[in-house]
Formats: sequence, structure tokens, C-alpha cells
Amino acid sequence: MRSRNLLVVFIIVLFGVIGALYVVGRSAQKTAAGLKTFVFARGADAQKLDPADVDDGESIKALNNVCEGLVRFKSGTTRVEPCLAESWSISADGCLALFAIRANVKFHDGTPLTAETAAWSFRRQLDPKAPGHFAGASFAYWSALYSDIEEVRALDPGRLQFRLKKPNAALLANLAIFPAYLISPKSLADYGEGLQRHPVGTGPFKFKEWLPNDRIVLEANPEYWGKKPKLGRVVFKVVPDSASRLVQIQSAQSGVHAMDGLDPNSLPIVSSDPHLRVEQAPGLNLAYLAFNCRKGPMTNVMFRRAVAMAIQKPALIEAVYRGAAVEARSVLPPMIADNIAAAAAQAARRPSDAPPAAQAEELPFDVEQARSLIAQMRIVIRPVKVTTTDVFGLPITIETNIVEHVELPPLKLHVMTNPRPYLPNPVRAAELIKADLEAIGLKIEIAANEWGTHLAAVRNAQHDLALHGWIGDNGDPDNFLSIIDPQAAQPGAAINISFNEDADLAEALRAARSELDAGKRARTYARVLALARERLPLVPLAHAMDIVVLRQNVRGFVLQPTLDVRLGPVSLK
Amino acid sequence: MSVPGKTGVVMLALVLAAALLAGVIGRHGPLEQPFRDRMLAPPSLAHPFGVDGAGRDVLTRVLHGTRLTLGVAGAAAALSLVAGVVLGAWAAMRGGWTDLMVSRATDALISFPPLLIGLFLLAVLGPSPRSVALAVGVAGVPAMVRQVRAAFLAERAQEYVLAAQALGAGRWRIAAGQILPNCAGIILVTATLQFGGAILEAAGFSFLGLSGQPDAPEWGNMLRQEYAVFRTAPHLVIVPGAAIAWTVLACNLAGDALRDWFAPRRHGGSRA
Amino acid sequence: MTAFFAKRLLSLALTLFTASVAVFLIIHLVPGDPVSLLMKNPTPEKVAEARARLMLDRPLPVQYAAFVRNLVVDRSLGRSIVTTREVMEDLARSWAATAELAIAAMLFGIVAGLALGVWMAARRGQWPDFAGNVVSLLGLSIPVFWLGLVGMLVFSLWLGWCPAGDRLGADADFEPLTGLLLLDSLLQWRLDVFADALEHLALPALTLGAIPAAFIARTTRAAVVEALDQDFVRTARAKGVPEAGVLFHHALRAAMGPVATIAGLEFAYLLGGAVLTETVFSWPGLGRYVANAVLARDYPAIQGALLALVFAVVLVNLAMDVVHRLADPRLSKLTT
Repeated sequence: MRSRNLLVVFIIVLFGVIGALYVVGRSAQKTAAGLKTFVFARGADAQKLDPADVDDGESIKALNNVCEGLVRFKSGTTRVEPCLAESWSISADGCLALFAIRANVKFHDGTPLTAETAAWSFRRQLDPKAPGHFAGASFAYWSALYSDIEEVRALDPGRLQFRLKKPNAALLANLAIFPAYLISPKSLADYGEGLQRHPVGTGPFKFKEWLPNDRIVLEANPEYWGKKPKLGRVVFKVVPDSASRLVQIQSAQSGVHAMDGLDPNSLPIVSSDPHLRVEQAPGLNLAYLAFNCRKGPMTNVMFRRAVAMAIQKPALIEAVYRGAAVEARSVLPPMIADNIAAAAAQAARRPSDAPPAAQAEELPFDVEQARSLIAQMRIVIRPVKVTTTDVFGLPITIETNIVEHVELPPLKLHVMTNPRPYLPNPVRAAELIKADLEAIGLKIEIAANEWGTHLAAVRNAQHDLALHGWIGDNGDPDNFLSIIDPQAAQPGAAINISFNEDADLAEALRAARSELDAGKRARTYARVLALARERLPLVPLAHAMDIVVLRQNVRGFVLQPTLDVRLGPVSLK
Repeated sequence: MSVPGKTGVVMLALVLAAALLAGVIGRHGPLEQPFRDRMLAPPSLAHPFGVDGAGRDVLTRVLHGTRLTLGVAGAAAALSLVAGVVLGAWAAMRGGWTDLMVSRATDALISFPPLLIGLFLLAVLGPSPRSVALAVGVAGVPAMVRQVRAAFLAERAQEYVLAAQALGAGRWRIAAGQILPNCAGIILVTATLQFGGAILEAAGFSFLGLSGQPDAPEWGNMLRQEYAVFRTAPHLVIVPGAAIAWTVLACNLAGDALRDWFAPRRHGGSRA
Repeated sequence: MTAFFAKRLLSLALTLFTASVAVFLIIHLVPGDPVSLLMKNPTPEKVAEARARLMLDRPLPVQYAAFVRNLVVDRSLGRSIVTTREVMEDLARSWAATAELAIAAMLFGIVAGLALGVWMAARRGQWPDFAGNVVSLLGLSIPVFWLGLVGMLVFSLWLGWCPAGDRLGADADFEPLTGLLLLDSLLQWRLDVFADALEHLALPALTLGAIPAAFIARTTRAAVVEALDQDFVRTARAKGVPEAGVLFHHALRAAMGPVATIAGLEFAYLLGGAVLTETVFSWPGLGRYVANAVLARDYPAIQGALLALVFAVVLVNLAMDVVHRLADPRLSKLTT
């Protein structure tokens, strides 16, 4: 009987003790204050931490700080500059490339960087029999971007040579991106297949731990060969909901210093908060609507045109991006189109010789015409044999045509549920496109899936239509145009999810890739874009602004066009 | 009936009226986007609940959503009701092993959170409104079985049942003709409360992204789709959230009042 | 008493068996080939390997036996399709986060519920009763994820009282022992970490505890009101026992029984609510894990997380039963 009163007393005492401990703890000095921690909040976790076997931005952001390649992009641009290679030379025929490896660099596990240890990271991707070529890994980027490389050889500890099957104009740009990052060969012995979750590179930060769906923790590498990092520790934290993410960066207690994946609707909130600042720049990306060109009505180019004409892009840009994007008129973002034109102009020396910039004439927005195109497709003229009786009552068979209106089957519009840098509100975009297309007489079903599931579905051609996008890895058109390259359309590992089979287009892309003359290359790309406009394997929708939100005390953060996150030069005030 | 009870019934009647009138009031369908020129507009005379992020009138959507939301929750509650009454009555009337098995299974299942049972079913069935209705409905069965079984057991010992038995009426005939009408009260109470619970659970699944088409005007789904703009266009989250709370509150009030009416005894609340 | 425990253990074993069969069957119940559900990019070799490992050409009972053997002997639930990590490793890390959140939420629910309930009963028919009734009914009617977001806005953003998610500040330098941070920080006598963890815990726990609090308040009020009408209370009053004494000594005691029953049931329900609360507050627990897994159709992870949650529910129920039994001698006299 007494025990129940004791319970009440116990609860009161418990709360009293907790309160007292809290007050004492609150006033206690934080002992770990010496270590400056930087927290970057993002919407999703990394998939793997093996630079050779990832293709998602979330994995790459962490790897940017742990690993480095032979060359890298000059901060804020897509111009190549030396990194782990101090210099390089490319032979006249474009088939041999020689890199001078930087001396006195060590991987985080102490392995010295030599041409031989550098070659290992390429060979494990190149050679299916290499011990690091895991059965469970796809190395999708290698086959897409590096397949011209035939051999990687260490001539001596300081010189690394690449031999190519044919010249590749994008070789240097490709070597600056993450699949060409170097990891320590010793990590295979240390972690086995676990190296895919434990990167050992040469970068300004060392990998410390990865708690999946929660955080990736990096620590400063005091022996970094370049400028020493100013931060003590870096945490990449997963906060799936963008509203919670914003609240976290706004409240000082949450300790978040940077976030991406801001819902554009919240831009006014951010700009009115004195503790925050926004870094934004036109993005090297494209959001697009892909047709599955091997299926049903999507095989018909008139159908694809009708769809393109029915989409109200300005409404889309307002609803999905709140204006933080530009309408896409071509597959290539303006920045890359300008790059090609600039390179061509430089090569021609006289501006008048330069080919015109890859400007594109877009299909007009025209619901009426779109509707009539679809209506025509729904009319089927079918020859039939009708058996009737003639004037004498004898059966005869007449051949005639009947006109039928067929119902088009409902089309599945696949879309991811997670915001992407090129599509901050994918589901909203799908809703708008559904309404636009239903207005011209189509029937649309939205299939909204979490990113990984979405990716698997569209790569295996399970969609009719799909909202998708691309982020340029290196500013070279070759990388960007793989989304319409028929050669990159093997179901299962497709980068081109339109699955267009277009020999002309494939040929033009191939020619451009191995063309070393900038002027000729630019002309070939102009032809590629013209073909893309005519065949319409996809409808370009928008190029989104890149947006990163920082707290005011963050110094030295530079927004990269490739969306890399480089924290080496960053400090906290 | 008490004042809260009356309030609950009136609130519920308003919701049902909204469901019936949805087609009459709006000029546009709930999926049409005629107001793309004023996306996210706050409430005004033309749009009493504002316009959403895709140019749709929120009032129209909430009204149409009543049908969808009540449909999913109603299907779920009906499933729990039918399965629960059949199983509960069966166990109570047969007794013996049947009763033991049914009540043991009920005891085991009732301690599991409905959301967990629902997640299991959704993992199997894949996300869709039908799966959500099924998942919520199945999760509600054990509670209904327990209520019905207890009520039937209590009634079985009553004199009128004994009298009917003495007159030679069959067991199932007595169950359907005599006992069931006398238990209708407690069954109705449980069903009303479960209906409210079903709305909340279905909204929870929508919030996790496990229900069908993203443009469907189902309340939980509307709330989820506009969750990100809560701070810039709060009406888009407040309206469907309030619609959910209003309807669930109505069910809880009505259920409590009905319980006092049919079975005035001590009770705590309304989790069904 | 022995008979009670034997019976209880038997039913526990039965429940666990049934639940494990159900969880095991998930990949067979989902339409489509089980192997294709277990990998994102199937290749013939990988499919063959998975077939052999899962013994898919053998009868179901044999497969089930292998599933249990893996679980018990190798302590393995297979690898996640998405992260390729051992599911067991992930569960081992996330259980403590959920346990800490659920316990704190329950504690809040009981204390707030009892206090509100007694207050309502003491002022029966007056405004506190009415207000408490409205508040508790609203608590039962508002979606928990909505409550969480509003709480975050008010307490983190406007008032700045507590952080808006996660378990510890990012710059905390702390190696947990058990994963229960409040306990660990006390064991290592790191009061700064204790305070930090408590601040992080407060808002999610309040959100998750709102429903149990509302529910317990209503139960308490009903029980206390009933007790106040009874003879022994009238006698006590007549003898001049002060009103507060009557309330706490006699009436509250009468409410303890029903409240304990409700609390047991609610604790299991909390684990369901945790799925939503953890998603709102990016709390790295089992609930968020299972919600992510269902969305990603990561079947090994779904199986593992559901099994872990079932296990937790069963254990909680067992513990509640035992406590109940020990605390209320009348029950054991009645049935054993």
C-alpha cells in the first residue's frame, strides 16, 4: 500500500535529480571546444564510399574531401589544374598521356604515393581480373567515360603513362572527376570489400566513421601535402526532411553550418535571416522528361513532339523552382555551350571563323497543335472485310475502311520522391506535367519512388515517361550528352534512359569525342544538338540554380559548378 | 446525450455533408490546376482556403478529399468491423478451443502497434490507397474481436438468451437474432472510435509516402506534399491538418458520448 | 506464480515464432521473384549466388530453418540491398536511440497524464476539467507528425530553447558505451554531454509522449472521480483529512491500477508512433530505419527491423505483465 506513494516520491525525486544534473552540465565548459567541427546537412546518405563505384552526389560530396585525382578543377570553374600530378604531356596523336606524380605525398594509411600505387586505382577498374574489381561493383563510370583507356603503366616511381585506343578530347576533364580519384592499394589488404565503405585517400581530411543514414565523420589530415585544413572535423549529416534541415541550420544550438537541397520556397526565409547567407550560381545541370523510345506511342516522334509542345515550362519553373532556374532550350546548359564556342573561337583565332554557338530553336508551346497531334494518333484507320448480301440475297464480301478512335493506354510517369539539385520538388513537377498532358488527351499515372528504387526502375526501362536529370561532372559536352548517347543505353546500367536507337546521333557523338581540333569538335556538337532537337529523345525542362545555405561564420566556401564540396580551405569564425 | 456528444455528432454530420456536396460546390475538379497564375496565394474571398503550389483551389481539394479520406478510413473500419464481429461472435459462441485460439491470437496481436502491422502489410502489398485501407483495417481487427467477444460472453448468460435456448432456437440464430442487436451499441461505439483512429493511421502512412498517387486530394497526402512550404504558406498544411483533427475529434467526441449512452461505465479515452 | 511464468513464457515463444515466420515470409509474399527483390542490379552470377545462399530451391520450412539458424547462430539477418551493410550491425546501433526516446516519452506521458488527470478530477465540472478535457481530446486527434513540426517551429526556432533534431551536438566528443546517451554520460560522469543529450531528447520525447499523456490523463480522471464518490473517501473527508491528502492518498491510489494497465499498452504503441516522430526529428532509431527500408524496398532491412520491433514489443509486454503481477498481489491470488 505504501509502495504507491513511494512511486510518486520516486518520480518527483527522479525529475529533481535530472534537473539538477542538467543545470550543472549546462554550466560545465565543453572540454572538446578546441576541435573545430563543421557540419554539412544534406537530404540523403551516401550509397558507397568507393570513388570508382559511386554515381550519386551524396557519396561524392564526402569523397571530395578524402580523395584526390591526378588533376582537379580550379576552384569555382571546370578548368583543369595540377593536383597529384604536377604536370603532364599528351602526344601529338592523342594516344599517349604522361603524368609526373607529385613527390612526398602519402595516403592516409602511410602508403607513399608513387606512379605504381597511383596506377592501382585505375587498373582495378580496367581489369576485370584485378583483385579490387569486386563482383558486386558495377564501375559504371569506367565503361561510360574511360573505355578508351587501354593501359595504365608506371614508367618509373615518378611517371605514369596512359595509352589510349583512340584519341579522347575529354581525357583530362575526365581524369579530374571522382572515378579517377586515387585510393591506397593497401586498403584492399586492410579492409577487403569493406574498402567500399572505408576510403583511404590523400585528401585534406581522413575518413573516421560512417553511421549509415546518420552521419559520415572526417578528421583533419595534419600531414596533408597542400594547404593544411583549418577545420578539425567534418560531419556530413543526413536530415531527410528539407523543412527540418532548414530549422536546424537556423537554430544555433543545432550546430549545422551548411546545407544543400533547400526547398526554393524557403529562399525568402533564408534571405531574411541575418545568421544565414546563400551561395548561388547557375548550375551545370539539366532536368528533363525522358521518353522510353522503345515502347508504345513513345516510339513515334510525332507523339514526342506533341508532349514537348504541351508542357507549360514557365509554370513549371515557378511552381518547382520558385524562379531559381532558367528554362532549358537545349540538352546542354548554357555554360557548356559557351565553353564549346569559346574553345572553337580560340582555335580559329579569327572570331569570324568560329562556328556559331550551339544555340537551339525550341519547339513552341502550343496546346492546340499538341492536342490535334494526339487526336490524330488516336484515329486508327483499319481495313476490314464486311460480309453482306447483294441484291440477289447472295453473300458477298466487301473490303472497306473503318475509322476508330482508340483510347491510348495510361502512361506511367516515373519520378523520384527525393529532391535533386536539378529538381528540388520532383513530385510537384510530375503533378504539373500530368495536368499538362491530360489536357491534350493523354492519361498519366505517376509512379513516385524513393531515389534508389526510381533509379533501378528507369535504368531497367520500366517507365513510359520519366522525370530525371543530369549534373555535369566536368563541364565537357561529352559527359553531358551521354544522356542521349545510344551507346549508353544498356538496360540495367543505362545512363541514357530514353533508350533511343539512333545511329546518326551515336556516330556524331563518337566523332566528337575523338576530335582533338576544337573548331571541328564544336561543329560536330552543333550537329548533335540539331539531331537531338529533331529526334527528341527527351524534353529539356530547366537548368536549376545551385544553392548552398551557409551560416554567416563560415569562411572560404566556394560553390563548385560540379557540386563538389571542398572543405579544405573552409574555416569557421 | 451530453453537450460534447452532440457537438461530435454535429461535427461529423458537417464532414459527411461536405463529402456529399463536394461535387456540387466546386466548379473545377480536385486535380485540375486552373489557378497557376496565383500559386500559393493565401486565403481570400475567391479562395477561402487559398491556392496550393500547383494552382489548385484548396477548398475544392479538401472537400473532394473528404470522400477519399473517409473512403479509405471507412473501408478500413468496415473491414475491422466485419472481421471483428464474425471472429468475436464465433469465438464467444463456440467456446472451448476455438475461443482459446481466437482470444490468444487477439491478445498477442493487440499489443502490437497498428502502425507496425500496417508497415508489414505495406511492405508486402506495395504502397497504394487500397493497401493502406487493408493495412489499417487488419490492424484494427483484434481490438474489435476483443470487444465483441466480451460483449457476447456477457449477453450469453442473460435470461433472454437462456429462454430462447429453452425454446429450441439454434445457437447461430440466437447470436444473429437476439445477441447481436443487444451488442450493437458497443459495436457501434468501437467502430466510431476505430474510424477516427483509421483516419489518423492512414494520414501517418501518407506522411511516410506510402499511399498512391501524389496528386490525390487525400488529406494526409495533401499535408505531406505541402510540408516543405509550411513556413511560407502555412494555410496549405494547416487546412488539411485541421480537417484531420476536426474529423478525428468528432469521432472521439461522438464515440465517447455513444459509449456513455450504451454502456455507462468507467473509461479512459478513445484509442480504438 | 511459477505456473504464471511458464504460461507467459510459452505464449512469448509462440508469438515470437509466429512473428518470425511472418517476417520470413515477406519476400515470398511479395509478388515477383524473391531474388530480384534482394538486389538492385541483378547479374546471373549474383542471382545464382543468392539462390544458393537462400536455398530457394528447397521447401519453405527448410528455408525458414536456415533463416533462424543464420539469425541465432551467425547473428545475421543478411545484408541491406542499399548499403550492403549487415542489417544486424545497423540494428545494434539504432535500437538504443529508440529505447531512449520511448522511455523518455513514456515517463513524460505518465507524469503529465497523472498530474493533468488528478487536477481535472479535483476541479470536476470547473474550467480546469473542461480545458483538460479539450486538451487531452485534441492530443488524441492531432497527427503526431504535425505536432512535431509545430513544436520544432515554436521551441527551436521562435524560442530557441532546444535543438531541432539529432541526439547530440555535432561537436560533442563522446564515445557511448550502451548507446543510451543519458546513461552513458552519467556512467562516464560527463555532465556536459548529459545536458546536451537531454536538450536534444526533450522535444521528440514530448511529441511522442503527447498521446500517452492525453490517454493517461483521461484514465486517471475517470478513476479518481469514481474513487472520490466512494464511501472510504467520504469517510476520510468526514474524519477531517485535508482535500490534498484525500486526493493523493486515497483517490490517486485507486487510479494506479488502470493507469498501469494503460501504460503497458501505450508503451508498445509508442514504438509505432516512433516511426513518425523519428522521421520528423531525424532521430537515428529503429522507426526511421524501418520507414526508410519500406520506401527503398530494402527487404532484408525491413525483415530485420520489423523483427527487432516485434521483439521489443514482446519484451515490453512481458516486463509489464511481471511488474503488474508483482505489484498487485490480488491478481496472483485470483488466477494462479
